[in-house]
Amino acid sequence: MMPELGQVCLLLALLLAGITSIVPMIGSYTENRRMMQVASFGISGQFVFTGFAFVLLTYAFLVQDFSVLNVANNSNSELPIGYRFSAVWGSHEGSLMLWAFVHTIWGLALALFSASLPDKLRARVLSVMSMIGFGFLSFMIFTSNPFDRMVPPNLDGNDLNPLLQDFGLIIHPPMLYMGYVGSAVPFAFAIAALLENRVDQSWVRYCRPWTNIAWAFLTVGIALGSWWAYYELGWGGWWFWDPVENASFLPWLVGAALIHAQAVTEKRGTFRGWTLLLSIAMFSLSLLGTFLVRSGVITSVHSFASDPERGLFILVFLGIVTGGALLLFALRGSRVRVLSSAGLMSRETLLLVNNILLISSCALVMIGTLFPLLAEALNLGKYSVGAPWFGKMFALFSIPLLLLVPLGAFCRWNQDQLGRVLTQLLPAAGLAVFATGFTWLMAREMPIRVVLGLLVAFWVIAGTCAFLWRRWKVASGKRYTLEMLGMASAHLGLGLWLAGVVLVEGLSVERDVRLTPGEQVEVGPYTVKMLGVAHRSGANFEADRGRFEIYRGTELITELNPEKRKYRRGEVMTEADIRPHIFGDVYVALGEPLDDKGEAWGVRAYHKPFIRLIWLGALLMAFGGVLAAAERRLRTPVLTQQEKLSQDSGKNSGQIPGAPSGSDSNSGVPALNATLNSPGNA
Amino acid sequence: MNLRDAKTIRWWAIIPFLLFAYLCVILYLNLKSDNDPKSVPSPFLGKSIPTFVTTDLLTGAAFDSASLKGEPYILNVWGSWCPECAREHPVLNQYAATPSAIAIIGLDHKEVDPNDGKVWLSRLGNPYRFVPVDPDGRIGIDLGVYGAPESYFVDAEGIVRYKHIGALSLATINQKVAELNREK
Amino acid sequence: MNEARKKRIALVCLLLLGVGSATALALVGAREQLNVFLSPSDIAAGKAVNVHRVRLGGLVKEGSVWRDPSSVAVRFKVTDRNQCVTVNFDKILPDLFREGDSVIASGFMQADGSLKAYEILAKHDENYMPPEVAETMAKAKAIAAQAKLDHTQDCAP
Repeated sequence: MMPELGQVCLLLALLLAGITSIVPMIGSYTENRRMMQVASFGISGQFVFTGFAFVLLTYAFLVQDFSVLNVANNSNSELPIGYRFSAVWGSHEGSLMLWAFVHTIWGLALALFSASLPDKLRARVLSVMSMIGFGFLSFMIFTSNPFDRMVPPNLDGNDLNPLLQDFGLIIHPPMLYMGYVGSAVPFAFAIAALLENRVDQSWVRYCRPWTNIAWAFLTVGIALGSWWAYYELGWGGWWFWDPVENASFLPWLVGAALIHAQAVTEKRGTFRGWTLLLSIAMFSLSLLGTFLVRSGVITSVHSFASDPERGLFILVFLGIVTGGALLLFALRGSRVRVLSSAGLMSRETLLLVNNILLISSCALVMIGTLFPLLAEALNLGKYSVGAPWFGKMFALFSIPLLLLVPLGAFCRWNQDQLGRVLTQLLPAAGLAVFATGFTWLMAREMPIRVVLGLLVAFWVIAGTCAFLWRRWKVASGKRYTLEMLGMASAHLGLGLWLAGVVLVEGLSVERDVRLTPGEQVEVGPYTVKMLGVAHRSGANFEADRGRFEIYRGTELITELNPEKRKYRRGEVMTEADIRPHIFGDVYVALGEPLDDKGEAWGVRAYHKPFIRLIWLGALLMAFGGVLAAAERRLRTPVLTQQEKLSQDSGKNSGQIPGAPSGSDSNSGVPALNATLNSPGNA
Repeated sequence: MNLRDAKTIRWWAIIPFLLFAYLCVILYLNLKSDNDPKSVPSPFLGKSIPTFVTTDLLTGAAFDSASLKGEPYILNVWGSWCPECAREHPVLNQYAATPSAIAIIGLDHKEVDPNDGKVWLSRLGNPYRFVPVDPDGRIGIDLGVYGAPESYFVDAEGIVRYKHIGALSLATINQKVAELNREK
Repeated sequence: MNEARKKRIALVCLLLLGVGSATALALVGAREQLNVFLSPSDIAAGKAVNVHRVRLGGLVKEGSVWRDPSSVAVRFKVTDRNQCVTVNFDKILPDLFREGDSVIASGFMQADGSLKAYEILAKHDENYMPPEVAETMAKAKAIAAQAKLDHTQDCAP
């Protein structure tokens, strides 16, 4: 009965989504307030019904209702209770349910926090969100219904794929989806702006916090995925340039570019068309990622069981959403100035270069991911692009980008001199060189590329600290806005991330050896000594459990217990054991027994120096995004009196970050003459 | 700012749309090639289906696939371990019950314990005329099977006309069977 | 030529230069990094002559797995039931590596016709075979059928 109730809820949500797509939109054109107000009601209703459906699906998993096909396929009577939650989104249908639910959460948040938005804009934004919701709910209800019954019901289930029976997979998908789906918000704003034929400062000011928070979630989601792959897959890798990983990375790169472009549009009024385009791109790439993972065109360890019919549905959906948006952009969005009047050396230019580099690396990853598809479609053969190519090419674009990071905060808007900027950063450069030299002295055997990579990482960190330091000394009144702190946190995170990547890629030690009890192997500064392997039984598996002692010199640090598990369902899983440490992880995984007595085993032992910095850096980046979103100024989308005045004066007085005015938002916006009261809008 | 005021060239704005359209075409081609009978990766398309000899799951009798020559049939690859097969099965049952249905042969692929297969069929229904077993997957390999459910539409001369990957729908079955009958 | 024009031209030139060099580098890098998928029959027919990195797909020939008693190094043959290729690998094999089951080995062809693998992928699911391997097998069968060869003509372990 409950699953049928779930079906009903989904249908009701679909109905509401349909109504909310149409009525407020019409109302925004006919200036009918009642119709526009339907939006809030509709969005909230979608949240209630989709949420309830989600709860009912979770309930089915919790009570192990095997008459529901989805539960039968992805759960089992022996499945521990915690994983019954993650089993809800462990399958294609369930993950769509999560997608739809998260979408309504964002919709609700929009409805609740958009009181200061003008009616028309609000109605259109919520309407576009509902259109997207309608599409996804249709997809789910008609092709991938999570509430399908199995008749006659199974007595027991197939069990959840053991790869998914893990803590990381309880939180990774929700975080990732919050990011993916969250990019629908700036998308909806972009469409609304195009429909209204107006892109102005208050529009982008409203957009920024939503974009920042969505991007922050995406950052956390990707970082969790990387961390999970590291400890769960048993290969010690943290990023494989797998098509599904790339699919999540593309919207992240565009999101990063979008955040910076929005900053320029909000403060200087330029890059407007570009910001619109990026808003469309970020969500489109999220949809593209969804398509790639589920349609079967790309085979990957990650992809769900594929179904070309479902793939077609998503492709059509993608075509309508993105194609429609891009057509709208072609018709309306082009009527914007391409270049600003800023000088060649200015903050605008630096941020433009930032965007170009980010988008180029995004294009690169996309081409690498899609090239095998293209080759196959054109009958050129079955190719695949190896991970090293991605790594090299990405590094090629990232290095110039990272080198420029510290300059942005020190460079004035509109016109500055390179010499002046670099002079201010000289101490930071010196510090970076010193730190690199010092590190190199401590570890002479470092390869040259690690040293250079560290130099860049230290440069980013030192440059960001230099900014913070200068504000501290020179500013009176409010020293740091949340926006500045957000920027600092994110850039510091970037530096740490790079340091982690460079160190682990350059210095990690991997040994695949044959060990018998009593034998040992050296990995970096540690010694891994095998004691033996014994049998043990788990909740839904049988395992061989190894005992390894980890020494540093002669001092015993800890004992690690990697396992090789055979699940009732049939899969064999490698559960590595890790001794985590900020200076470097020791990682041990069992291979397979190499003799008949089961005494000699193949063992994988790794030393992964500073790998934790990668995820720590990512967390700092996400934190930076959240800080910047909380910036007070962004919560008042209507221009203040001061801003109106400086706007009218038309002066291009860019502010030096260290100047005593205390706020960075006074940035005279020359070509922008919009307030919310100007007539003649569509 | 009212966007109508700015005067600029407009032609570049269509570029993103064109690039995107191109991308959609590539993706669509890839998607279609999975299902298009002309480009399905089965090298037996238009050629004789490989013959095999095994036993029948339910009767235990010997089964020689060459005996099927002379009438068109659907070779459906399934296993009790395959959840999508369970989703597809009612469609097969439905089709088999129609008066003009052609024979469906159900290859029990990679079934570790034949009992599992028997129980599965007794619970979900048996639309198959014969149920040849393929416990180690060798027959599947010969046919180019990569998983289940997969179905081969074979005409009366034993030529493979169409290979379908994934669950069948009633519409697809009817359409492909009509094509098979027309070939005669 | 006014300032704005100069800037525009400078920017466009910079963009073209950037895109051009990036594309060039990408293509050069790609040629080395592209993996082409081949079957044992393909390699026997000489298709691996000019290729650097190869992804070899097929089944693990029963009885062909040899393990070095003093390390984790392993040697085995990959077959499509028509031809075989010897593969050498010096790391730990994936969990689902089994004789008679499908495998994809990525590596570099050696002068003696064997493959020195840096990565071995065994299908990640008990019951599904990578499409490329399935096609390989079926193609080889088709070749054998056309040449009217006996199915059991396969390489020795």
